[in-house]
Amino acid sequence: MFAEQLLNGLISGGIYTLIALGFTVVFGILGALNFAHGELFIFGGYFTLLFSQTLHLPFVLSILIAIVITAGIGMIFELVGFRPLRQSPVTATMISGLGLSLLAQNGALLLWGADAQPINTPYSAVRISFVGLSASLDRLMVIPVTLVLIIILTYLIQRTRMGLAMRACADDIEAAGWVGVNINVISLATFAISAALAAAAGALVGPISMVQPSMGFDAMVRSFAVVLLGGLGNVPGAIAGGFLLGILESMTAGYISTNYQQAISFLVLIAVLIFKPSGLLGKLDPEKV
Amino acid sequence: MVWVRIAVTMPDWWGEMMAPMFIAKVVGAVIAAGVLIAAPLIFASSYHIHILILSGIYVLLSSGLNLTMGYAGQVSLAHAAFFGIGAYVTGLMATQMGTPFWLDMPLAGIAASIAGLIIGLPTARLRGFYLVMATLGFVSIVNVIFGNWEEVTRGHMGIRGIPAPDVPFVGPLDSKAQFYWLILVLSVLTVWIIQRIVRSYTGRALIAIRDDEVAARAAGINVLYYKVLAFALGAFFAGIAGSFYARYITYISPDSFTILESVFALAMVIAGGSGSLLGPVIGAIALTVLPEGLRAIGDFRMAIFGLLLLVGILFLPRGIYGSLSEMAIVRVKRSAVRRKTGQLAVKTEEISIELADSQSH
Repeated sequence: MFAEQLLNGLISGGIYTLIALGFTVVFGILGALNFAHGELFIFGGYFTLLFSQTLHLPFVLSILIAIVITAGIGMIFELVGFRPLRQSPVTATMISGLGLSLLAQNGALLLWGADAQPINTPYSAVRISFVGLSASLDRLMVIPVTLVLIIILTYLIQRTRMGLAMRACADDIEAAGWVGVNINVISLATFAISAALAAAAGALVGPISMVQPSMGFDAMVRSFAVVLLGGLGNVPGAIAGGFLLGILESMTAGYISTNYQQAISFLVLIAVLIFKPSGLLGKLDPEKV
Repeated sequence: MVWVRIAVTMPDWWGEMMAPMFIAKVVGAVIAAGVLIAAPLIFASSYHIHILILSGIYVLLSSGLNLTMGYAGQVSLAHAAFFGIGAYVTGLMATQMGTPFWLDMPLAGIAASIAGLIIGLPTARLRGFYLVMATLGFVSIVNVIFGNWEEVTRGHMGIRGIPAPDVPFVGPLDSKAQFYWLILVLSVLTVWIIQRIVRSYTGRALIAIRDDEVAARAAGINVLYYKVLAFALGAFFAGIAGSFYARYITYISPDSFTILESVFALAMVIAGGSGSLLGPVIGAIALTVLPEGLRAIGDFRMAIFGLLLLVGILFLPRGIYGSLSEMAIVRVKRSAVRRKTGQLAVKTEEISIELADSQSH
C-alpha cells in the first residue's frame, strides 16, 4: 500500500513539478504570475491528441510538435498580455492573464468540445513490474521525462548565455536592461520555456487521465500550491514542492479519503504561508524602505 | 457617472464656479435614483430584472472586496468563501429554524466576518502574491468543507427550498421586482456605509497602510489591527450578499462558491477601478451585464468576455471609473493650467511694461 501510494505520488508529483516549473520560471525571471498557465497545459494535451490520434503521427513526434506549438502560443501570450503591462501593477497582469485564460479555455472548448478525451498510446498496454509493484509504461515514463526536462532546464539557466541573462533579469530586471540584456527577447524566451514545460506536462497527462478544457484552472491552482511550497520563483523549490505535493496527495487519498485530497494540500499550503512564507527552500526578501 | 461626463465637457469658464457643478450633481443624482428605482418597470422582461438583481449581488461582493483590496491594499481571493459562508448560514437557518431574513442576514454577515478574522489574522503579514495564494487556499478548503461535511451542508446535494424573505409590511417577496428593490436598498446601504468608513479615521488609516505600510506604522497606525479589520469588514458585505443570494435563488450548493467566483469579484473591482467608491459598482454591473448580453453569440460568449477583459486592462489600466475620472481630472487641470498661464502672461507683460517705464525714467 505505502509503496504503491508512493509511486502514484511520484507520478503525479512529476506532472505537478513540470507545470509548476513553468509557472515559477516566469515569476522568478519576470516577476509576473501567468494566470493563463493552466491553459498552456491543456493545449499541450490537445495538440498531442491532434497529432497522434487525428493525424496518426508517432506519439513521441506528436509530443515534440505539441511542445513547439504551445511554446509559440506562450510567446503570443507574452506579446499580447504581459509585455504591454510590464510597468503596470501586478494586479493588471492578473487580469490580462485571466482574460487570456478565458479566451484560451473557451477556444479549446470550441475546437475540441467539453468532453474529456483520452489519448491512446502504444505504451498504455505495456506493464512493467518490479518488487511487487506494477504500472503501465505511460505512467512510469512521467518520472524519467520529468527528470530529463529538469536537467535541460537547469542547463539552459545555469550554463548558457541566455540563462545568464535570465538570471540577471531575475536579480534586477531594470539593471539587466542597463547592462545590455535585451529584456524583450528574454521575456519571450522565458514564456516559451514556461509554455514548453506546461505542454510537456499536458502531453504526459493525456494518456494517464484525459484532456478536458476545464482542467487548466485546476492545474494552475495546484501549481500555485506547489510553487509556494517550494518558494516563489525558486526552481529547486518547485521540484521539491511538486513531488512533495504529489506524494502528500496520494498518501491522503490512500490513508484518509480522496474527498479531502485537495483540501489537505491547501491546508499544508496555508501552514507554510503562516509559518514559513518564503517556502521550504526560499529566502524571504526583507522589505525595502 | 453623469456628473463625470459633465465635468469632462464643462467649458473652461465654469472651472471655478462650483454652484452649477453642484446643481448638475444633484440633478444627475435624482435622475440616476429615478432610473434605478423605476428599472423593473422599464425592463418588462423578468430575465432583464434577473440580470439587474445579479448585478446588485455583485455590487455587494465587489464593494466589500474593494474595501479589503482597493483601500487596504490586501489583494484577496477569499471572497467566494465569505459569500458561500453567508449563503450557507442563511440557507441552514431559514430551512431548519425558519428564521426571518432580517435576523439571519446580519448573522450571515457576522459569520462571514468571523471567517474574515480567521483568514485575515494569520495572513496579515503576507502581501502581494503570497496573500493571493493563501486566500486562494482558504477558498478551496472552505469549498471542500461545503462539499464533504454532509451531516450539516448536505454535501454536493446542496440545500433546497430556501424560503423567500418575509419583509415587514410587505410580506414574503413573490416577484422579481420586489427582490430587485431589496437588493437595490442593500447595495445603496453598502456603498453608503463603505463611503462612511472610507471617509473616517479608519479609512484614512487603511489608505495609509496601502500606500506605505512602513510609513503608516511610523505614524502610529496599528497596522495589524487595521489589516484584519479590512478583511472582516469586506467579508461582512460578502456574507450579506451570500445571504441574499440564498434567499433569491432558493438553492445553494458548493458549485456556486468556487474560486472562479472570487476571480470574478476581483476582475470586477479591477475592471471598474479599485480604490474608488463607484468603480466596483460599475465593474460589477459591466461584468454581469456583458456576459449576458453576449449570450446572443452563443458559444463564443466566454471567449469574447476574456478578450474584452484583456483589451480592457490594456487600454483602461486603471479600470473604467479610474481611467475616466483620471481623464476628467487631467482635463480640468489642463484648463486650470491654461487659465493660470494666461494670467501669468498678462502679469509678465505688466511687469515688463513697468520695468520699461522705470528704465525710461
